[in-house]
Amino acid sequence: MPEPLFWTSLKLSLVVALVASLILLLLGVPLAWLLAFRRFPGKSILEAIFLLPLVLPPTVLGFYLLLFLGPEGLWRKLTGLSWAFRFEGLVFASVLFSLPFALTAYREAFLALDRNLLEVARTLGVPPWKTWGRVVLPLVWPGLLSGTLLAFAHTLGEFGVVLMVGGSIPGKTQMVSIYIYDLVQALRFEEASKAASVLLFLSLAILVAARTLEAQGRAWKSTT
Amino acid sequence: MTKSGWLLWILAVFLGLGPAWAQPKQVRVVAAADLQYALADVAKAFEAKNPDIRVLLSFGSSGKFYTQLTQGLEADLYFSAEKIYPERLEKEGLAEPGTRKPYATGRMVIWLDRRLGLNPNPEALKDPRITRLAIANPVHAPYGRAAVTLLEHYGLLRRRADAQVPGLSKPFSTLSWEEIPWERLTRGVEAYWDITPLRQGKPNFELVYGENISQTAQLALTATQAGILALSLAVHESLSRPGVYWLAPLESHLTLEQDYVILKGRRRPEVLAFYTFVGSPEARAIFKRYGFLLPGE
Repeated sequence: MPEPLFWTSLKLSLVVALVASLILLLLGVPLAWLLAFRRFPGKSILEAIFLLPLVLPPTVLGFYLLLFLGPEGLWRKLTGLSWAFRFEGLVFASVLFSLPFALTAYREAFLALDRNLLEVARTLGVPPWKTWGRVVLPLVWPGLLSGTLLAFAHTLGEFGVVLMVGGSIPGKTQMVSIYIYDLVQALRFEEASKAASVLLFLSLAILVAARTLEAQGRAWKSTT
Repeated sequence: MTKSGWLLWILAVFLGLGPAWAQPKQVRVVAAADLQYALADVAKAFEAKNPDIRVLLSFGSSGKFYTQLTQGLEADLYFSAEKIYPERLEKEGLAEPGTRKPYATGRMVIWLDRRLGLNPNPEALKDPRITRLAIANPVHAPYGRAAVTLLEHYGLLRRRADAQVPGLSKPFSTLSWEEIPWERLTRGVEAYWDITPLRQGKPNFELVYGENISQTAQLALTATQAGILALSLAVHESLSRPGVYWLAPLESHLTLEQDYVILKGRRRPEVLAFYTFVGSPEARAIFKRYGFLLPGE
């Protein structure tokens, strides 16, 4: 079994990933809806900006976030809060760098919706919120959940951004990927491989769950 | 705690995942990577005597921690591998006045993989089988600076006459080790020093930079078979079993006088207790065991 500090860092990673993916769900669903169904000027630029964390080197994103969240940063000027090297900063960063993963999955789920169903509901005079509850949600929830799971898994595994924004304070900002990195630096390869294997299986399990949900979403659609 | 902090906190507790920082009496230490083993032992000895206090250690390069501390990193104590960083923190008002104190002087070694069958010393680095040499990054790691000066001392690196660092009044080639603006040497050692003596007679040769001295040790152990490391790491079994080392004389490299300091507003009783323990005979004996030179010796 890995040592206690591993579980502490894993717990922190899980909490950060959980909070970040819940925020992403609240934030990403309306955003994905907007991107899937609405046309507006500057849409492709907006999409590009949301997808940026996918291709940006994590250190670049982390560097900007550090400047933004640090004691001299804009965030401090706007809100009076300095979030660098804190739990809140880790969550903030995680929301940003996992946004493309959630957003892409959500949008796919919405685009796969049969538009005729929405049209029919509208012509029958069903109010939009009822259409959401009765038609949209039952069809897209596997997609939404799988996107949230992906964002969760991605946050769990991120290294470069959280190293820049969170540093490595055990029990406070040391996420599990950084814990493993620190073990390797301390030449404790045996402990590192124990910790790494737990993470490997956890990530695999999450991915299997996400894929199963996606498949379920497709199966559901073909039967309706 | 901030308002949003509370929200996240409540959420975390609600989910039964209460973070570890809820525990009372913790001392958060950020320390130079050469203390990886020694300070861990010191902390263990301290915790044995003070079971109600937990010492949480983070290791990395002194320069990186200095930057992070100026960017809002929260820690109680900072152990640097070179005293310039604690001095700067003091000047910038980020340290508790009057708490900066030396705890040890670091020693350098040339470490070689045992399988090379070489007698470890500076000359051995010229062996054609050594095509990579791991050193810490001198830009932010004091041990990297010491490594460069050590190589220079033994004629394995020569300053380039044409090396230029903008904004210097003296030519780079005439600077003393203490005057070299290490943080500005971001173009890499080869831009300022000629590595011909190390490269001669080899198909290729390169310096490989570790982020800090622990990572440098890891590089030496797993990839380069040779490195300039801290004695405090080289004596540990994970390096002494697979390798052999040569201890460099103190005057052959930049002095690694190491200071520690309490950070601003962190003079709590438990912090002071650990701060004091580091200077105790028991802690000094541990530092000595890892090859550190002690203040007043």
